[in-house]
Amino acid sequence: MKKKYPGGKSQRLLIGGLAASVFMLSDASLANQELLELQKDPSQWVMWGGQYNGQRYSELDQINKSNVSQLQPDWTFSTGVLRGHEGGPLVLGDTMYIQTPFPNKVIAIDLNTQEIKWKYEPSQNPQVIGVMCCDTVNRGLAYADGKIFLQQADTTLVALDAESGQVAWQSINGDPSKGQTATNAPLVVKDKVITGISGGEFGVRGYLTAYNIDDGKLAWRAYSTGPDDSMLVNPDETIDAATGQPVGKDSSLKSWEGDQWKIGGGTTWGWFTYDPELDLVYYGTGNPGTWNPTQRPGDNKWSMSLFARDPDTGEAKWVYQMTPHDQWDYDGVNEKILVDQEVDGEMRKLVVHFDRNGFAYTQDRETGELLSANKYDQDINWASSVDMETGRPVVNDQYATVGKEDVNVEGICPAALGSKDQQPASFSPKTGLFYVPTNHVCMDYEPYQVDYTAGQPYVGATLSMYPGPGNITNPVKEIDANRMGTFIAWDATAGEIKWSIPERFSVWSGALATAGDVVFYGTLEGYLKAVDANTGEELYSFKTPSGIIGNVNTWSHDGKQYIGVLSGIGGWAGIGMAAGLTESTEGLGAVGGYRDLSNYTQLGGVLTVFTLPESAAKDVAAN
Amino acid sequence: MAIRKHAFITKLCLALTPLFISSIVIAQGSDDPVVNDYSNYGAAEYSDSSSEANTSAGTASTASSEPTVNDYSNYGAAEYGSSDSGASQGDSSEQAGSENTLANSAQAGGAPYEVDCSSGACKANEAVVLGYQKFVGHCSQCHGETAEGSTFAPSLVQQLKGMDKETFVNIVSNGQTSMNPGTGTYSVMPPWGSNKSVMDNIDSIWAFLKARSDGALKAGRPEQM
Repeated sequence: MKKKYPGGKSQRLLIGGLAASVFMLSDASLANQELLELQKDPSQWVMWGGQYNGQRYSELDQINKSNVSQLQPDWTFSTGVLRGHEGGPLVLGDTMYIQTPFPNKVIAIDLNTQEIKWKYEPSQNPQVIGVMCCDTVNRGLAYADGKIFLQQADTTLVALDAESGQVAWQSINGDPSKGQTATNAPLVVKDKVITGISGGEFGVRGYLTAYNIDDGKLAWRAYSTGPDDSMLVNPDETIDAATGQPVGKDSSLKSWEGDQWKIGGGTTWGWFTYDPELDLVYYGTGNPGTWNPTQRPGDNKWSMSLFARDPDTGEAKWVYQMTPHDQWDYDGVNEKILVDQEVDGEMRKLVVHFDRNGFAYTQDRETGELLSANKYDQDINWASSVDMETGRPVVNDQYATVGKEDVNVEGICPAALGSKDQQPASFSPKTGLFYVPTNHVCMDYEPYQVDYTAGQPYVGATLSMYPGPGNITNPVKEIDANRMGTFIAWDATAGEIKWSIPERFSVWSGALATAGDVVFYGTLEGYLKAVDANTGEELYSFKTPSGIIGNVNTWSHDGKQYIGVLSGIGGWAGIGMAAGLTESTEGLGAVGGYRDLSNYTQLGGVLTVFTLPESAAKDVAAN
Repeated sequence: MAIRKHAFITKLCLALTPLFISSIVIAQGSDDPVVNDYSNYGAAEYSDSSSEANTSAGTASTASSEPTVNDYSNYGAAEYGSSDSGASQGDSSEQAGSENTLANSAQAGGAPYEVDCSSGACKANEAVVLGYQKFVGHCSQCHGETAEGSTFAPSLVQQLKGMDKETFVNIVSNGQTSMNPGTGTYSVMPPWGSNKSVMDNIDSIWAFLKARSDGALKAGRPEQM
């Protein structure tokens, strides 16, 4: 069965006709309806998280735990670009859309013929590369209303006609000469496309921005730091979820010394999710400006925070700061996954996220109320726990770096990479478990005084990273002595790890869970792996052309289910590949360092698409 | 440090061997043409031209047309290979076995560093220690803590072989943009000339990198002599 292109004119006219007979609706509100429906269709993959809830779960079950061992690569496609390939393919009807790192090509592929329908390559000043901290990654595209949205590295947000690739509009979201760049995947909510900004290592004051999808006009912008009105925070109504009380006047200004909030960080380079019923967008903010905490006393609000905002106005309904006064670079940007689960016998609307700081936070997504915060790696030592009364982490003084300028603080876990970085987790409503790609890396951290210069790195710390200790919870196979990663199944209701798959290197790919009781993820060596969603047992493994830091996505076409992933080593994980993050003075840890990655894989962006052989697919259909 | 020692001390011997034999060649080559183009790097380029220039800047092409390669404006002025190191392979740390000799000869030959790795962990003079700190603070985000590069920046251990200090200082202060003609991949070193923390310590950074490049200093944090 060939599907009509979902954003195509005929279907839109049909919907339009129906809608017009009831109300006069704009194109944009139709786009909202269209996207709300499309995201529920498991045969397509129309946004980074599969659905607005960011669960990265698919109802497709043709590929299941009984037959996944027969999975095989069906076709491959080189992007022609080296460097790190994050994000994953979008699939709409008969068309797949993929994007590349700088120069941020977009390629539309006809799934019937695997021919290129069109490609787009923006013109960007290569100097932007020099102000991107950790490779020139791009985390993916967004779709709505017949348009594909690309957030370019140079901060240009561009809308392309999904059929032709022609530019519909462009908007400039920042200025790379001031260190502002972009790596995030946009998210379309109703008639707006929401995008973020990178540059936390350049003293950028972060913000979230919404543009109208029709014409690219700026709708609202909400800063992470500064005066209340610039943050779209209502002092009397926006709730501080740590206390349950309104944030009050100047909540950010009071938490900084002088004008430091102007270079205060809190960038927004992670993933965005949306709850259509509560009508709230969820996202996190990054590290505060300079990694030397002594230079910026105070809680540095609202860096390292989770925001819930109204997508129409941008106003913050609630905000919660995970890591007040950060001293370790634990950006709070990781994806906020929206799930409904029973907590203490009561069904709750939850937002769950696995923070860089090593704690998994479960919160009520309507109010922000903190329900639990548990370590998802037992070796986390910078804080012993999160105080449920105050909502604040209980910091272990030994691993604090504040007041320790030019002192090398040793043995902090996790490293600045976090227990988990941007690589998005998945959630299966069938098992009730989260599947989380994690890092197991610790660090030494020596902060020092730095001066701010616009457009230049504003870091102020010397870091040395190495594999963490050998501890692991419920491993399903033998542990590599120099393990730097773990793929875990997490029970958020119990705050426990159900099982762990030890991995030699950090797991830096986005996970996918399916109704076939299979969970997929990629490794830095380049393996695409399928494991049993209940037990973690490995069911399938295939070595793709390069290390995987992309997200595994799924769709169906002509009655067959496909799995697709971009290979292409790089990103922050690539810093270690040649360099060996791990060597310390004693030479310890060199064995387990990322440097060994170069023995396994090389650069190069390739999409690999997997499916079952005809016979296996038919067996499923027959049953 | 307790955790690492506890977990890894037994692997020390194992650890050292592969360290010295590993070969790192993935960093982008030093022979890429240099296409420095900072004339249009001001805020003006990004803000002023955005509304007009950028509307026509992008290209959407059908399957049959060629991809557009941008920004060749300065390509003609390219200098080939700012260093004459040629094809550089292998990790200099494989030479680190003969620390004593290197340390001595370094002093005798007027090298900018003093390093002694004879007791396992390396000890170095103040310049190298400071250079390490400044390098890791400002440069390691791309070139790696060990200066051996990453998937997106070249190995300075290799690049500094045969590079004189003047060239080094020039590249650090003015930046360098190169494009690999084989892959079309840009490599961009930003200019650091206005960064006090880098430029005030450029001699120390040079000393540290030279010690790494000469194979005198093992990777990692050196101790003060």
